[in-house]
Amino acid sequence: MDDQRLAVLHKALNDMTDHQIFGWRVRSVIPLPDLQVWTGDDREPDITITLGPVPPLAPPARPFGPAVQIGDGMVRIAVPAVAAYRVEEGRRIVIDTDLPPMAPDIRTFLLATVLAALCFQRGRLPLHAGVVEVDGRALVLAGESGVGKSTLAAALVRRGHRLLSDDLCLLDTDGASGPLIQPAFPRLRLWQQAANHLRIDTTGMDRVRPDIEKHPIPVSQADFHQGALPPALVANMRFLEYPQRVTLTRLDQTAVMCCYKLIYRPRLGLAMGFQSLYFKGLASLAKHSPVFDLVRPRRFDMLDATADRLMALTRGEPVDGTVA
Amino acid sequence: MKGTGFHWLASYPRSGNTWVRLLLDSYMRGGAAVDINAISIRAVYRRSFFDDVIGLDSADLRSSEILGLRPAALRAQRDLNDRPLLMKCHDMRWRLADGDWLIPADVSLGGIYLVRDPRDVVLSLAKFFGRSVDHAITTMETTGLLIPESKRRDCHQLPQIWGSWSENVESWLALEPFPVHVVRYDDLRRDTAKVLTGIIDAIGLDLDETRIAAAVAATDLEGLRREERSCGFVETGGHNDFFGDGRIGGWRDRLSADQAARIEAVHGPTMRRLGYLE
Repeated sequence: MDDQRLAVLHKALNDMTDHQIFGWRVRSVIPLPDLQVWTGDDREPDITITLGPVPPLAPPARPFGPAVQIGDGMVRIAVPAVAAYRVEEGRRIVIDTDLPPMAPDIRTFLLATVLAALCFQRGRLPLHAGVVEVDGRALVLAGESGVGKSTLAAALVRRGHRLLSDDLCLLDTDGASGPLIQPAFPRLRLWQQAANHLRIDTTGMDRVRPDIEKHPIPVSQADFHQGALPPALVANMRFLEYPQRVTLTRLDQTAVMCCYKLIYRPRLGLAMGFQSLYFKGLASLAKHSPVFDLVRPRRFDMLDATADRLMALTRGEPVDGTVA
Repeated sequence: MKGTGFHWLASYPRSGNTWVRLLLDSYMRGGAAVDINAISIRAVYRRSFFDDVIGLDSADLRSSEILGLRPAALRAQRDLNDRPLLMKCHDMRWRLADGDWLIPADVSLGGIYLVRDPRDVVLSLAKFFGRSVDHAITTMETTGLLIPESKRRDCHQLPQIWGSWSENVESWLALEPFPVHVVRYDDLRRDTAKVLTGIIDAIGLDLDETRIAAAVAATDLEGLRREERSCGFVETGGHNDFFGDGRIGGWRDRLSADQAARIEAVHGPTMRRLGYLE
């Protein structure tokens, strides 16, 4: 085989294995089974993921807690016993790990904090939200970890709504006609207990870590929404142990501007110097989409009631007990 | 209160911690009525704060990894506040693998440790968990006990290391890494105003007898139980009423002789130190 044909073959192989997230082309030496294969144009990859040494950053890099260091144009995120990641200029991620490249642990942190740091570096706002499609627009289920975003998203996918993300999505404010929510990848992460409630069989499925019973659960192509969508409604989810019912309260625009909980790792983004993204992103959301505080009891048996109320509200139907 | 850092309200669970939080909550607001569902003194176990300042999702970390990062989260919280904070915790004092204390001295301004007769604690714990008394006795005997015990479900609280009842108590009676003001629940029940005065003094709040009397009246146990029955309580364990009858020595007619003997056999030395056993 001559050099030219070899080059063509290499390119074809590379093209086949490239993946996409938030509309970016990703070329990775570690497998990314959660992500969709790149189907866009033949541009050069927007992001490359390689393996290599990731030593601590030299001064004047500054620490953000014991796990994260912030340097000039780069961030180092070290998860003991898993991997160290260096995110460079929004274009390159280098991973240093003793685990086999297939280990799901590596992707658990890669597709969370590491991805969020990359988004910040690329000047895009990562939202801490699960997202499903409702009538051609995005229902954004935002909230802190543990508030039930994935479980509610899974329940809505079961009702026939297509998934855009289960934990981290991207707010794109570049368009002329208002903000867009960029889809992440067709995967849900559910605790065993939530999977049991939704009757999802996790036999043989990966875990986020070997000893943590939380599973990355693939979502079929048909249940995933490929393109970006304008937000229809943002629910800022909270739970309380006690309340007997779901409460939805509309936030005014000033409150939305302060609602940093909608953002993924807001303190990290601030420490990296991206507060201007917050103003721009939250202002755009506040202007184009209603944002509600959603308070619900921490019980699986209220899941359907929560989904019903949200669906009615998203579709503009009158909802009992809602302060508009 | 001066400086930045934490004054700890520490105890083994079901030892009167919430009551003291309510007493202080009322006192700091001039002896005002309390809302049991809006206690200003929080627990140290908020996961969302940890995730935000550590930068990793605690749901993806092992309990041992989270415990190892908790001192860093505390330091971040100290540095983000320009005033001292009162903070509830149920952890035993524990030295981590790297030598750091789970609750380090450099974030701590001092603290209160509340202790209650383990034979009464066991009854309250069984009720809280909705489990048998024997199950609660086993829980209190378990050395190094970590809560939650399983990683099957989502949990809005960070893992806590309760240890056994004796471990928990002894760790706080020790002077390392910093001394605390020890309060016996029985004394607090018998003479609430006097013991509350000692607590307020230890924390470094200004003393005001009128406010103390008002705070004691505002947190009368019968009133708290009435409020829980009519409004519910966000911190409930979900099985039974959170606020019990607060009885001292209730174990005498509710524990079997074997159950009492089992507790005394395991926790005898610590009980003697505190005057709960001859």
